[in-house]
Amino acid sequence: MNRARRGDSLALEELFRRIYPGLRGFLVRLTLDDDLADEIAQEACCRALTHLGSYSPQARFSTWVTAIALNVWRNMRRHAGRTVPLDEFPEPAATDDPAGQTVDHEVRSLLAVLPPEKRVVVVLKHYEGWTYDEIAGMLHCPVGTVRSRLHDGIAVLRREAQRRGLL
Amino acid sequence: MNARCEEVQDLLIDQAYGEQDPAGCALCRAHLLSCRSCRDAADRLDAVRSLLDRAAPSLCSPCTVNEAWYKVKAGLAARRRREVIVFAGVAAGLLAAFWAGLAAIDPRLPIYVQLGVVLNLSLFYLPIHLLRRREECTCG
Repeated sequence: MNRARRGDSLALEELFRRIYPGLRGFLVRLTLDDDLADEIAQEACCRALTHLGSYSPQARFSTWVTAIALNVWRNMRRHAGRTVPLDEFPEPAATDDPAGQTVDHEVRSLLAVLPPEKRVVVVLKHYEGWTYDEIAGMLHCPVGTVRSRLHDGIAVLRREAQRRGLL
Repeated sequence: MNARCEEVQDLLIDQAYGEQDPAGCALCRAHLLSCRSCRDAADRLDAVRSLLDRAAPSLCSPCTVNEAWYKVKAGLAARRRREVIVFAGVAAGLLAAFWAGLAAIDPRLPIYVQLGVVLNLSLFYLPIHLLRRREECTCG
């Protein structure tokens, strides 16, 4: 980290390679759009690596980078209004495991039903395993809001999954 | 469903995600043993969570990471260039404005004094700029 802070390009690259796959994975689930996830992850990494000096080691590095990515995502949504409406949700491409892919597509389309502010909490909690406190810090909102969004989000997912006969 | 059921069903998600204190966990466990409807609610919650878990992990190939690194590297270089240009432009503008002001106040001031004052001022500007960059919040 110290070498990266001094601008050592090898250290920056190593740091990038460590954070990028996880960050991109999180953003794919959040945006449900691989290209948009790439775009946000790259911008977030660029900002994080440029401003390494303002990272305080009291917080986990991944928390800090995720918070930056969430800000980039929010700004992009505000400016472009880019989301994935259900009717535009991409069909899965054919692979060796059609059954597994169908389930994956079902889950993605279930997540697409959630409004973004609930989806972000469900993804951060369910897939990333952050605590309510950490999520509240990243989203700049009270812990109670995080909790109620998770509860609402899971309730919506349950209703939708039942309606589609997935449960 | 009684008041206790409502309370327990509200706590189920927190418990499932490890956000429940030991007292709340004990309350849930004890109640679930005796309440069929809350057990059903817990089962439904587990079913939703396992459905979410069945989504394929999002894989990121080395090729994707390499491609992204080249883009980020180019972005970092562009930012650095932009920053240098902005810094140099602002510094030059400030110094020119100050110099012009100095010359207007007292045109008889020897040129070496004017130069000295302007250079001293520029020595202040650099650390201020560096400090500002360090404290700049990236989260906006």
